[in-house]
Amino acid sequence: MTRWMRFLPLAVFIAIVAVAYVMLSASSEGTRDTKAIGFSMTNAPVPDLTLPKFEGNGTIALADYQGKAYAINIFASWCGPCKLEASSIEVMSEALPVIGINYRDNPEDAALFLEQFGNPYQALARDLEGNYSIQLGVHGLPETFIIAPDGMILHHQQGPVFASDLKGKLGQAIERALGS
Amino acid sequence: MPWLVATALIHSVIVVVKSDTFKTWTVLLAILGFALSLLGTFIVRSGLLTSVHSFASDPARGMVILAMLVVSIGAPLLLFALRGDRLTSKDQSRLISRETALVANNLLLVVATATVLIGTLYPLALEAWNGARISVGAPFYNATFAPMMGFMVVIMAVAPLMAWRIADGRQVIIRMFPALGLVALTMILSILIIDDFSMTAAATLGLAFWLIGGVVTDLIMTAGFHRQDRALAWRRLVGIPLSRWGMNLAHLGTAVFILGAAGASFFESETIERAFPGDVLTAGNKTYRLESVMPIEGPNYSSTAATISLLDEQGAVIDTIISEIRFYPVSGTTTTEAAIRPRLSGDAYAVLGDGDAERGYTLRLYDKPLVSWIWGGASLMALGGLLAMARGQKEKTS
Amino acid sequence: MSRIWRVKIITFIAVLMLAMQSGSPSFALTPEERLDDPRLEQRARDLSLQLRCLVCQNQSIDDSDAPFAQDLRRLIRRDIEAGKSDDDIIAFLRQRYGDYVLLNPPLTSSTYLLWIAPFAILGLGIGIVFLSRRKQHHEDEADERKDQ
Repeated sequence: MTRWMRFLPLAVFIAIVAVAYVMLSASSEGTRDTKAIGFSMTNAPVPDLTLPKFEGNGTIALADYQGKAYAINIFASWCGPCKLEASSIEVMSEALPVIGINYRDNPEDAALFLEQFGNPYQALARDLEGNYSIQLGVHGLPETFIIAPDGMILHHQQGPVFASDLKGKLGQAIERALGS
Repeated sequence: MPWLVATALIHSVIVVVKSDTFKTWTVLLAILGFALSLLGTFIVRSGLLTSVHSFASDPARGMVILAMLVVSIGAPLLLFALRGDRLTSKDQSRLISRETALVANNLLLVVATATVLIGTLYPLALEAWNGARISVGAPFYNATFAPMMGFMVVIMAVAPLMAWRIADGRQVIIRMFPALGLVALTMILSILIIDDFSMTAAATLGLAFWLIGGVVTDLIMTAGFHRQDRALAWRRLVGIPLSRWGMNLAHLGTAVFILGAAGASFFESETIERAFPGDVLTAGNKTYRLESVMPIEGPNYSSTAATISLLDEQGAVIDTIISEIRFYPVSGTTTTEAAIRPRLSGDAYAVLGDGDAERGYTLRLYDKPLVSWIWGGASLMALGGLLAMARGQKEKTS
Repeated sequence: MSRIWRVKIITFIAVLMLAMQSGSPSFALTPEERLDDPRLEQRARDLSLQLRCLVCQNQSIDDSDAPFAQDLRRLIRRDIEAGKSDDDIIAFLRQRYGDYVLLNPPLTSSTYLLWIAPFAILGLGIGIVFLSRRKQHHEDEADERKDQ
């Protein structure tokens, strides 16, 4: 075995350690979230969905909101973090209209939830089986989307919206949506 | 990964003992085996690899483990790089020889290990490079790892027949003709008999029988059955050193394992249906009847238990198995207990799903042929290993 | 039986499941989800095995009990019945979740290295073995000539 061949395992090991170090540092700095799955519909047009209304027989079509900036918030009564973000969504709804989608929920439980935590939504839809939300790529509640007037998804957040988010990337996306 | 390297190491050590070569390589394998065990621990416990609900992932802990790795793996590897040339050996083997077969064994196992390592770490490296996220799952390993292992099994069958240093290649091939015939027979039969035929299933079965053929051929040749005196050959068979028996038993165990895995993968039958008590359902060759679904109280759990009967062709009850869905109130967890009836020919396997008296109960019923051969094959491999460790008083180096 | 063997067994099983026959079990599928046409259903199962359950530890959507996996399984079956091809469905999901959702890493400029690596390493290994053999024999011959 020649000299360079004997150094090869060591070289490979060093490379692996380097990668591991970089990734661990990113994790501890917070720039890398191992729980995020790389949702990639951001900067893509929002799908043209028509959902059934939460109450009554009508439908809500996202196409009707073309030309306006708006937000979509996916929530459910069984979702703990959704309760945490209720006040933030309220604040958000003062800036731009928020469409709520009640995801895989019992209507009575959902109604109770809205009574208890408030109903900030301009329009409320229900997605009993998740068939509509899956088109948006929803996989873990709560999820919030910011849509620009031209229909582009400017921002997507998975997890509860906190005041810090309203000042951070989410808030910036809202401003961009309203500005354009 | 560590056990792949350890398998290579076992075989490499044989070469060191028998022909005084491969010493440097063997030392490297030993280091790598240990290194991969530590690396595996690190990968799982450091939170490095992504998963949405990774448990106890604390980057600080990861850094500590990484530091430990650098010391405990880096030091031996550095030492190896600097001083590895101290181990000298002379490889006097020719191209066709036992040494070459074992080199091939080692090569394939190590490359397979590298493949698994690459598949595991590549998403990480890619993410570090440009933030892109990909997944590497079963399909990748099936395309890369599997063929290599297949090759290894092919060589495994003939290696024992090859002599050290110089082997008569033509003679080996001639001696394997019967085994080859067995393989052809197996594949033809599988084409004819199996209705849902696939080339992969046939190839897997062929591989298993090729290996069995190799084991039998080696025993026949070593005992000398191909020479005239049969009685002498039988006595020699019994007198074959334990280590050789061990090798053949371990290889046979591998073949049995492959057959078990083939049965489980290719010939399994599944039936998923809603059933009411009294319904009769079939999965493959097995006939099941749901007798009842009742709540029962266990010592620390409450469960819904489905009693299922296994019936024979006439409809008589062969056996009764029970599948439960248990709820443990203290921890709040729900588990599902499958009903398994293991037999040498195959397992009966039934799992209760959700449901109620009105809508019926979801039952998942299976016929799993040869599944116990997986465990059996592994046991044979272990037994073979134990035998191979037995050292006779007379130790010849050729 | 020690953990080593269990890992070996499980890995070997995974390895040998080259062609996903109708025999591959799914502990998550309910009878109601299945399509009536067995060929379409088999397509759905094969497709499900290639897609990662994004909210799970390391499962395909065929194996997982998560509601999200269930949603995707239903979506796939609806699309299959609507006549969409496997490639269409995969493209749809890839657009939403990125390459991460594919358990079979696609052959893109980022993944050439991944796919080539195993075979490249094998070739490298064979090359090294042959070269060191030749070097050894040349040395042997040189030694023999020296002795003579």
